[in-house]
Amino acid sequence: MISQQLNDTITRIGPKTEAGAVLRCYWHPAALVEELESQLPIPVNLLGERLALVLDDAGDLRLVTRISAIGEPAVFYPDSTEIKIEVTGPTYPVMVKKGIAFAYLGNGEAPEFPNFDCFRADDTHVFAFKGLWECNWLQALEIGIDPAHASFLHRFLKDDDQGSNYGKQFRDKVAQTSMPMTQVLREYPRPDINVEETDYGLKITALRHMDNGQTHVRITNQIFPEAICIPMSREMTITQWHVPIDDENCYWFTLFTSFKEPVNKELMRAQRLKEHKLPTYAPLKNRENSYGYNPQEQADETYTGMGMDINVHDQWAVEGMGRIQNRTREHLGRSDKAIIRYRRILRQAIDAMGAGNRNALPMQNGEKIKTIIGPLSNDAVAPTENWSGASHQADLERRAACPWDASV
Amino acid sequence: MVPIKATLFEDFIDGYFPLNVSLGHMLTRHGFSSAWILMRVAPMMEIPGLTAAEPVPLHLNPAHGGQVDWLAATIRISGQIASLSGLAKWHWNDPARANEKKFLTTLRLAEPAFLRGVGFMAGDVYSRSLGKVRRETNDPNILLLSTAQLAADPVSYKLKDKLDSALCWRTDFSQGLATLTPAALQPWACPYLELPDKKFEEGLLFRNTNNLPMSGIIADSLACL
Repeated sequence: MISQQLNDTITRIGPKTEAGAVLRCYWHPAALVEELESQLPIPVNLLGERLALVLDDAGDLRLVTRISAIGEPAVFYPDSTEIKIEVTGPTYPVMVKKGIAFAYLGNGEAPEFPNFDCFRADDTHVFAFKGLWECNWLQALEIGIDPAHASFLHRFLKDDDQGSNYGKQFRDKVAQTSMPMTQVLREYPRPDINVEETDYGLKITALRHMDNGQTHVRITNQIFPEAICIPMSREMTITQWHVPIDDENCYWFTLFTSFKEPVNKELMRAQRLKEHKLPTYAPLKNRENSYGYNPQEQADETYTGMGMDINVHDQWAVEGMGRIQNRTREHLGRSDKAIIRYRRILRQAIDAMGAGNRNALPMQNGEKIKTIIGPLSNDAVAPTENWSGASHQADLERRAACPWDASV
Repeated sequence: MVPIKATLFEDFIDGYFPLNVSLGHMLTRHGFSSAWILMRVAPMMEIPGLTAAEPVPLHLNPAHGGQVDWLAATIRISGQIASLSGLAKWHWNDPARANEKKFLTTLRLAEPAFLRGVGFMAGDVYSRSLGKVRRETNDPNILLLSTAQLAADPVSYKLKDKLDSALCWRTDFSQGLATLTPAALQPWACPYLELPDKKFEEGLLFRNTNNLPMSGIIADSLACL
């Protein structure tokens, strides 16, 4: 229930905004590498700026300003032949990592990349994709750091046979058990939530104490400023950025990282292309078609009645709040601990930037950034009286069996 | 210097209630009689005409909002609520309130807030700012310093010069109190327990500042200056 003034401060990200100044201290996903396979330049709409990816004279990718018409749609994606470069406009450096072209729109020297698993893994073990959400970036991020929402929004009334769930979130078995993840989320909907501040943002631990003296431990992460790292299955993690296009639209960019087996990129891409249209990567289920809502499915199969793709559930939830969530009407509760801690870090960062103290922001401290590894992100089950080491132990075992250097 | 029982803690307090009520809830939840707390960048509101027992409205008028930039205070349980003493920096959205000098302990947080601090249990050691707190008889981690005790305490007496010029001190006294000398102390900014005239009244000495809750407390303390 914050004031409109504060809501504007933490949500608006254009040039010369306070949150925009914070976000511009970091690298952001600008385009998928697969987009670059068409003729350059390609349009990029990022942080309220109208840009294009080009090859500079040295043959390096660079983000440059493009000329845009007044009233151009937020997700405008002109053909390369129609793109006109504003030669006097700002230009920005670009770096390709694991299928994503990252751009740095800030002043001064760009920070190092942290040594997260998604960046360390072999190319064969990482798959990148993106999708459009028609809402502000902050509400898109905040759903991802709320461990309680999965028990409701992603509630499946039936458990799958686990046969055809490769590449899908929440459709695996839990840790070393035979229990489907969907059953844990459904039967234990009120997790205890612990939040710790870290070098990179937040480590979020959700504890679901089960009936058999066991506790399900799920560790997820907020990576400042606008990313999350969460487990997708026993094999894979998701590192997902919620990148502002402008104040009212954002892209999620995800790196799916596999620990043991190479990612079946062809299958994962095909799964996601069935749900999105190119070149804008706009979801086929959207506000115009009520997100595919089916009341019979809602009665028999899912909480939302919007299909089995949990991304659609999240999309509906965050777009349903309006383009920019009206936080003058929200009432956060104690289960919103991670959101409360995140906003605290964001407000501190805004204050620090106002005071000219960029070094006070997370991951802005030079060489030390490269030493940030992980982050630990998994599901584990352990005896309730001794759950605290379970995730770490499961993580070590997974890393030990990993063909790429996942040591921590 | 008196060894006292003290607990470093992190917690979330509820929003929407008057602040002194939410802090009272927190003290009761932990079983503390008093605490030294630090809170930063917490959105707040004050709704004109709203009594303490009334719920907040569904919508916040922008003019009624603001932010606690930081609050560093000692709090003591007083019935169901907490009494506060300390320093704060804050601002309201309404420019007409820009020059307010008094921090209202009955204002409401606009959302639950994270805070850090040190909690104390009721006991027989007198502290002007914390009330009577419990003595630690085993391995002490935190010492209560008081200027009133300096003359009677040889180690404290040696510290007197430095105490007059700093807010507080930290040290590692793992080798025992006998080895504690002014030279072993490293100054840092907080915690001050009370600063009526920017003069040192009471303070805390911590045995070990190299742990996660303490490093958070130190970081918040430094940010509050």
